[in-house]
Amino acid sequence: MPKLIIDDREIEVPAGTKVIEAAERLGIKIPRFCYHPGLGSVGACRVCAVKFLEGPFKGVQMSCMIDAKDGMVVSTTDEEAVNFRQYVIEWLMLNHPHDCPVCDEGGHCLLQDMTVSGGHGIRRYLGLKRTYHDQYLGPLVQHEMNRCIHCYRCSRFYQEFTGYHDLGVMQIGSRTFFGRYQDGTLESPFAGNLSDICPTGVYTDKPSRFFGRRWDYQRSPSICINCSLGCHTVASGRYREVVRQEARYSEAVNGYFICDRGRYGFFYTSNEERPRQALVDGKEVSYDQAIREAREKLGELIKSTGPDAVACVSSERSSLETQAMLKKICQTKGWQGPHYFLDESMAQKVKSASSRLESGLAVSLRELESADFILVIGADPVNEAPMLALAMRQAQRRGGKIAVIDPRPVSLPFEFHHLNVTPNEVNLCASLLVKTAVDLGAATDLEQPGIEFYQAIPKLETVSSSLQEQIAKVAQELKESKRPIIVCGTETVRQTTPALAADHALLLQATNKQAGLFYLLPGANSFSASLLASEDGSFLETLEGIENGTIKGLILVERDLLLHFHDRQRMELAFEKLELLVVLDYVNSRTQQRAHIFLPTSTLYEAGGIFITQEGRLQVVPRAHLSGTPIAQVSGGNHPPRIYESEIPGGEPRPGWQALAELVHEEPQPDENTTRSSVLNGLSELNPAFATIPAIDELPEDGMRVSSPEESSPRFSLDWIHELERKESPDKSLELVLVNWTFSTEELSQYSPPLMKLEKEAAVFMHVDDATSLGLSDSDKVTILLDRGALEASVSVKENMAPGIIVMPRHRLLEWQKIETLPKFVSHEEIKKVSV
Amino acid sequence: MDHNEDVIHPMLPAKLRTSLAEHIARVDHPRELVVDVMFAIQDQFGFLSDEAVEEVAQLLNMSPLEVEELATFYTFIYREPVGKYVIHVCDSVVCWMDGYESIQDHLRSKLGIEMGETTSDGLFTLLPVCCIGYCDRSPAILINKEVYGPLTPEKLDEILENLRAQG
Amino acid sequence: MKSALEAIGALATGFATTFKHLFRKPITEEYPEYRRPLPERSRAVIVLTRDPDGGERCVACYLCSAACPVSCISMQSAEREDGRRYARWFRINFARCIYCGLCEEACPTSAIQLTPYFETCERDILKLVYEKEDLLVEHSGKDKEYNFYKYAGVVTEVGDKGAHEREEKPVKIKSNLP
Repeated sequence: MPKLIIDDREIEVPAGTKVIEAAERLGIKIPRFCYHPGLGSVGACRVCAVKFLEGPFKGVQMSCMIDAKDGMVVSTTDEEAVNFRQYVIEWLMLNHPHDCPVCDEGGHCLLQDMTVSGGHGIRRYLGLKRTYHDQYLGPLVQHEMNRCIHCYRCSRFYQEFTGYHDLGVMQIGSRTFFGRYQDGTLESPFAGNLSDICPTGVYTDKPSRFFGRRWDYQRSPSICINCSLGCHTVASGRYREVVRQEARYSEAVNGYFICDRGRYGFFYTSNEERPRQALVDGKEVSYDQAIREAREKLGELIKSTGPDAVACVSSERSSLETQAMLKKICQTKGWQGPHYFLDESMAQKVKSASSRLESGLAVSLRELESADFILVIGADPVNEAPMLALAMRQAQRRGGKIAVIDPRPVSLPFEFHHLNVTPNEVNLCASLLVKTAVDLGAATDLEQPGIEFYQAIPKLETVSSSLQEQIAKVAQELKESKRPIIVCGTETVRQTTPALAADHALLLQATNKQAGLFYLLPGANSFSASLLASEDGSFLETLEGIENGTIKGLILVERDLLLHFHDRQRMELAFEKLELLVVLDYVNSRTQQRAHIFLPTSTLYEAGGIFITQEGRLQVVPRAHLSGTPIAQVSGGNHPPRIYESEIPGGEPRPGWQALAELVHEEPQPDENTTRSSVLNGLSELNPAFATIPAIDELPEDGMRVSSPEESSPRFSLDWIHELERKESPDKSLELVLVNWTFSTEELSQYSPPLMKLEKEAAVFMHVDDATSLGLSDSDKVTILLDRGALEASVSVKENMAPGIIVMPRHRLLEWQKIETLPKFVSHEEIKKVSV
Repeated sequence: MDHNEDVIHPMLPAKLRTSLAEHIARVDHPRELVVDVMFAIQDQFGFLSDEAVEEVAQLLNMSPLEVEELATFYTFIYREPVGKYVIHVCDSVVCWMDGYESIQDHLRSKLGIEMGETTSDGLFTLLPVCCIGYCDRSPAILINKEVYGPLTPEKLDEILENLRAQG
Repeated sequence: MKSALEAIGALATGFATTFKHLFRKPITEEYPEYRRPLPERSRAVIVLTRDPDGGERCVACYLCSAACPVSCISMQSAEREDGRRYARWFRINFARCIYCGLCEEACPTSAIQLTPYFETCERDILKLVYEKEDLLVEHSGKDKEYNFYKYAGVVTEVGDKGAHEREEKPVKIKSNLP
């Protein structure tokens, strides 16, 4: 551990620490442009110069390029270094335009800060300035190359860090240009980070273009709820709306960056169509009146038919408080539910994932970056949780090997092995791979069931020889690895897969590997939903109850059944049978429009809340701003009203937990914070796993891991082998695999206008063999006949996917909700080419 | 620059394409051949058009941008159409000491074009270049990769005459 | 005795001075009958000026509202179709304004300027809240020359890239010239 002196203060840092980082530990921030802690050093901008007075180097040197060494004496304030930096800044400013007033970076611009703090106030150079033409880079990033200082952060981030290759550096010398080969939308789903990392205003945030200055924003720490990873963000609120979201550094979760779905997925909260007024039979009423009516109607219903005529459904995007409140209400009132999952098999998968995530196995997203082998079982990282792909990219950059076992045409921005086996073969393929890689003789302290489990795995010869070859190759890499991590998805896999993944991680651990386990779950709060979900009764039973008239009242909390349930027609008919449909939500979903009584709830940004990520990390989000219609909408874009009312327009929405408490209690309820505390205090009664959580304000910055103490799924179950024996697919038919895409399938981002502009055409994917036997070629239009009618989509023919399936995105513009039961098989006759 | 619409679409001749593909197949990392492939195509067509850049990218499994990064970096890869004879006038220090400026001026007035331009008959393109390592023959120029120097306006006239005669 | 004489002398001098002023022409100006022209630099009501070409100078950069010590300026910036940034709305609460002139000093485009006009007294305080239409004038105020967009380098109807003051022609990426 080298010890050095910076500005007369001594500090000891780990070997390999750069002087610029060592100084930062002392609270001395040395100026920098090209250096970024997430990207490392290149020494391109020359602005981090400091003077080395003693030690192995002497004189003015770049502090980002030199490792801290024993005996170094460094001065950041030495006259020579100060002058050097001042000249560098003046030189970088030679070509910089005088456009700060119309630049969105102004106010949080590193170049602006350095120019001012470096004392370069007056321009001395009066020569001509270099200019560039800008490019169109898509709906998220605005390009203004004149402002560039050639620090290379963008191209390093884009190509090296994220692995995409459509933005880079062209030309040479002072004409160096950063951009694309041609105008066009940036391909990387991490492109939004360019506006964060650019030290000046070359890349700025397009959706928030010209909205305001950072000093005016109400900036608040937040998290992203557009997938289960729970990346940290900063929400910037102004005039009663969130206008921008940026990445917030997190040691454990996302590091310095976030994906574009997370960055731009927040617009549902300020969507103009968002319902902010309580409705009874479509008429606007006051919140209290709507609650009164709901309570009366529920009372009548219960009086005539009993409490189990009422059922409750919530979702994976509700906060823990709301989910728990609903659970408590159902328990005390005797209502049915709550259901958090619509698909029983999904509920089981999440349950087994959350219960098998032992503390010895669970790894965080950042820990995944240091894996030397990542085995992905049934997940498509870029499409399901883009930040997972970015973490895997970091592991790959450090020499880690990646293998993906998935039937979909998985595409990742780096090299990996893709074992594109059919959905039925995923479990077998993963098991064969682990079996080939694990030498049972080397296994220490493996329990007897583990040995039996290992021995029960079929022989490698059971699969085709080409797959055998592939498996053997990947297994060799797995065998050589020391820190392998298994990533297991829940979206397309069989019910037994999550448990199987955990068993394999245990097998790897038994052979002295530091094995880890990482699950992907379907929603932001799936983990907490699964901790709260009751064992008895499924959503389908509830649906049947509605259909046969035993259930007459339905309470939906932040749940769009017409979007998520696979049979929309059946759901609509069921809605018609209901005597009372109460919907609590913050988006104008189809389901919301069907409600008899609608109660607006506030969003994460207005209420705050607790969310538990897929690794069981409980994170508390504070409120960013008060509920209310954005001023821009109140005034139609013009100046705010000149006369103020005593109440905030559109300030009706209440947090879900509060609305629920008021819905069931006659007596006046305490304020939302008190209600929240009482829900949280009662959590451990709902599930003992919550007993370990400290008070909210004592939680660490990165949250804390909750692990389920349940032993519901035993280790080393052999269920998956029995599943193999069942032959599921009828002959000559294709299994319909419903999947998510990066954009256009996730629920909340469907309310985000900038993300809609990124949507790709809804296409179904088919293996080239299937397409050939159906007489289809790429980009043909087909109709697929489902149980409730036909569906038109274009076909994308792929080689890198499993045969025997149709991969269909749950695309916003594709009405896929025409399926009677899942899994669904489509025969060849049901697929017809549309002649143009 | 404005893309010249008159340029023949450089879909690679089958022969060149196969020879390049064979060459590429022999190496472990195809992208290391990018400069060679660009030169091979440039030798065929005189310059590297947008279609050619895309073609190179496809051959080497790179993105067009990655090819463009290198194509615009190197002086001897031409992204704009050039004449039959590309004259590079060295403008580095030794040639400057020996008066490259007068050579350059002579060429400009003789050919009636500015630096970077091509004569209307499509024969000559004038471009500057930094030190080409022939300081012993300064002031020096390169015509289609061949060095000429030390030069005087008279010698230059002779060289141009000869080239013109060759057509 | 001597000191008594000195005291009387002093009194007499004093009263004589006062007495002399009784016969001088008064210099008090009768306001509002007479309105004295104030120097151009005096600080009163704020206006938003236009550039010499008639365009709105204000680019809604928020610097004036940031500089304002009493937070009496608020606005919303937006983008016009031609790329110009402008104030969608702009509001100054003159009931709160202390006419310190910091907004004018902060303004990078010479848009916001204080004028000598000060007669804005109102009984209804809301009438002192000025909107953009009340603030925008049809002249350039004290700065007759400056047009920000001629120097900023961003593309507007004032000029394309490389067409502004002291700019080189834009870099050609595919140029053969080094």
